[in-house]
Amino acid sequence: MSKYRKIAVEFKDEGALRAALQDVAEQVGIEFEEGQDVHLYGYQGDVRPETAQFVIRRQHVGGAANDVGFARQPDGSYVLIISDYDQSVLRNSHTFNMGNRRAILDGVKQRYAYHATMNAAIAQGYSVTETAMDDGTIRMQLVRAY
Amino acid sequence: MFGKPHSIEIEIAPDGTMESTVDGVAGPNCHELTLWLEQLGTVVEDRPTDEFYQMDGLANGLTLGY
Repeated sequence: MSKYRKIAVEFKDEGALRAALQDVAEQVGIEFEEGQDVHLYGYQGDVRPETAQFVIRRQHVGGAANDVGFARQPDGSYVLIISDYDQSVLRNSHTFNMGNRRAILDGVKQRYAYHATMNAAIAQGYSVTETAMDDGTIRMQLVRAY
Repeated sequence: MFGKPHSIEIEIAPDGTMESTVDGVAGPNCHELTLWLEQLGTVVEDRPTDEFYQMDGLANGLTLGY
């Protein structure tokens, strides 16, 4: 073992992000929408100026939530669009009903990291085996003979 | 070093945090093997383990400058 590296994953692979959203939608039992410049709505049904390519509607996010989106940037990467209120709920889980917020956001991050790593590893010529750990961690073993 | 069998172990925590370690390659060459992983995001921690400071075999005459 000769290298240790910790990476904060960024949403750069659209296919991996879509696959991650599909995984989480199935796991949590929710739906997401995909389209060009889909408008986000606030908790009172008010249309917001923000648009995104992937949107999880507020009724799937949790009580009093606003829509959550993933918006494409000029460089092709995606950023998370989430309201200040929903971020404050995430920071204060002892006060607020979390709804699906944590399951959605952590789930998308983990499943995105998995799919993006898998796509890149195969492109690099690795064979991949994976193990689901009891604590929810995904362990991937990448092997290459050259 | 390219041309050497090796494996990379990756752990992705439930919150999406990702860690990687390389097996089978000593020295700084293992860095090259995981450069593609850096493309997945931003490296927030990067440190060599003990094996990093070993010579990657004498045959290639590699001398570490650390």
